[in-house]
Amino acid sequence: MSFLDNLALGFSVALSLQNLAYCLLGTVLGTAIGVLPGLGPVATISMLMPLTFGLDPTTALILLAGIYYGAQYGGSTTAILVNLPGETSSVVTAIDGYQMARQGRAREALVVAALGSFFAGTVGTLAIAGFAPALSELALGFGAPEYFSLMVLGLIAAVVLAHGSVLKAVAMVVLGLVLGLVGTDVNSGVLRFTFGISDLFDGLDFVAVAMGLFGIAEVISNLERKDEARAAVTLGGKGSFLLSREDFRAAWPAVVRGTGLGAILGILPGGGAILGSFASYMLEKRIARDPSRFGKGAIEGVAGPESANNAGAQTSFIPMLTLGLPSNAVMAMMIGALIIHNIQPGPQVMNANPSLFWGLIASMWIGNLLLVILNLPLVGVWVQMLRIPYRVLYPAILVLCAIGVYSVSNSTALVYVMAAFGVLGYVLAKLQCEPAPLLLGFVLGPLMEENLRRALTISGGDASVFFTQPVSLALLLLAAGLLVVMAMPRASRLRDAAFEEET
Amino acid sequence: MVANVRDVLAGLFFVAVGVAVFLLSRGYGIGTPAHLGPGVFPMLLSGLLVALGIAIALVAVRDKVAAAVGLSWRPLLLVTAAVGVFGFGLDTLGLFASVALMVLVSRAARSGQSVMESLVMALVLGAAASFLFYYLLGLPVPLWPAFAA
Repeated sequence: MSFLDNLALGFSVALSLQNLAYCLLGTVLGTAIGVLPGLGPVATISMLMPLTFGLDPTTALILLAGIYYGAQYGGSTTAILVNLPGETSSVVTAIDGYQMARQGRAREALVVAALGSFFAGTVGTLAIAGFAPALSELALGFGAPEYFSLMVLGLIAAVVLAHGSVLKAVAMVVLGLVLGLVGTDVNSGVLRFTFGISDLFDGLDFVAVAMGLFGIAEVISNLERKDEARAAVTLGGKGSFLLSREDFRAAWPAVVRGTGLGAILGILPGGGAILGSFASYMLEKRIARDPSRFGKGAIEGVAGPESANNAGAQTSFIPMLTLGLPSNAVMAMMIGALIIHNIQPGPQVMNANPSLFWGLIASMWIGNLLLVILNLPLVGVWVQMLRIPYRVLYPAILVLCAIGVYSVSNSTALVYVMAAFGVLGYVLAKLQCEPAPLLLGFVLGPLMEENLRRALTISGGDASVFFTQPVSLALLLLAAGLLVVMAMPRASRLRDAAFEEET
Repeated sequence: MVANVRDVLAGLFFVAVGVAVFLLSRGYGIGTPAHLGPGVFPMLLSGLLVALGIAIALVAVRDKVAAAVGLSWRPLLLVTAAVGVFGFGLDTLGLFASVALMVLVSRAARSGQSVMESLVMALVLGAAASFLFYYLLGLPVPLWPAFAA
């Protein structure tokens, strides 16, 4: 099928009344929750995941994807309006966006963020449609050894490119891999790490683990801090959502550059939306004629990173959809959703479920369009939601998490699993170990073991198969290379510098 | 004295988990190289965990940046208790009372909150959850305590 046929199929799926409705629901829910303080996209998706169980898989993914970029967008809105980045990828947006808001240019900042994101979303969607088939064609030739090595590379690249200590992140991945093995071993029927608890025989529930690590642990951490008095939120400016000619002229090149950077960096494991927005901010600052304007309300400082994070959010779907590899915690949630719906993530998804694959891609573009149409008029509502104090919010978050996790399989056992992972997540956060790598490992644990075993069975027990197959060897060498480079002080300094704007 | 207590503890944590995983996986069976038993992959991982834990701790011992760990026990215990109360009460007390209790316990996680506000929130959230999940979404749980029905 040609490129256009694929897109036509996708749009025919995405434009069905049901899918359109869920796309709308997802973007609105995502934005609403993204605006609320202390709830990131991973917690949001895990909280709303049980809603998708009754849906067919395509609709479920459309809803989840809508929540993802809705949350992304909501995070930027709060970053601009009250200097509270809802999540890491909008941290840099807050730098100049909030300054613009203080100068009474909140509307301009929001418009630039919205239009930049839409442009980036369109390009990102086209990039997926263009590259995904080729990549998945390539991956279809992979055998078990290649897959195992690919997962090793994916996990290592994900932790190397994320921020924080690499050693700890790798340890968290391994911990996640172990936790992924809890339950009955498929090959032998042996029960592993279940301690005789029958609720664990089917393994730890993915939703309970994610909700505990990202929802409950987050609440505990937030309660340590005082409820900060929020700055008064005002939109200021004229009543219209139109950019002046000068603003437009300053912003559009930044949008184009940010889109390019974000799209490329988003494909990399671990990059996702975050890396792109940091890189774009640095680039804009470097090439600006007057870099001193940055930090004081430069419109390029909003346009570039916002486009980059949205482009990255789109293209980070590429490794997930074509290789079954999650490049960040949100994609791990998507893979979890696929598995819950009995779809084995990997290159075969595109051929086995073309309507799911292309429908999801088309719905991403529609979702981005909906965001632009909805959010500018609705910004007044979001401002109201921002005024909800955390002391009122967190009990409601806990209630939603508890009922949500119960409804996964109507069992209180999952409520306890979630509570346990809340404690674990909080303690690990205190030890400055990030939960995202753990979730990646958790999703990939069973798949890695399966491919390791299969590779060894095919080779007759010869472990050298991983090094004699050229593709597998190349992947492993790349992984080793990444680790070595990061161990060198110079490279790690460079990596830290890339994240320095965050603080 | 070690300055970076936090990372040393993190390292020790991973070592401890690694050792526990190793001890547990010994009983799962090793199989043959061509047909790996269920114990092999966890054992490999346990070795990695121990090695990484030691590395983290060693780096931290030489680290000059001070970092301590202080847990905030009140939110930790009360938020966990709130979730526990919900799980424990759901089948016997019903949805409304479990949600209300959960809200009350969780509100105690932070000091100096208005009791009146807590009570109102318990009632409102209890009612909202009952309406949304019991009536609208048909969650198969009892709504009221077993002894009341």
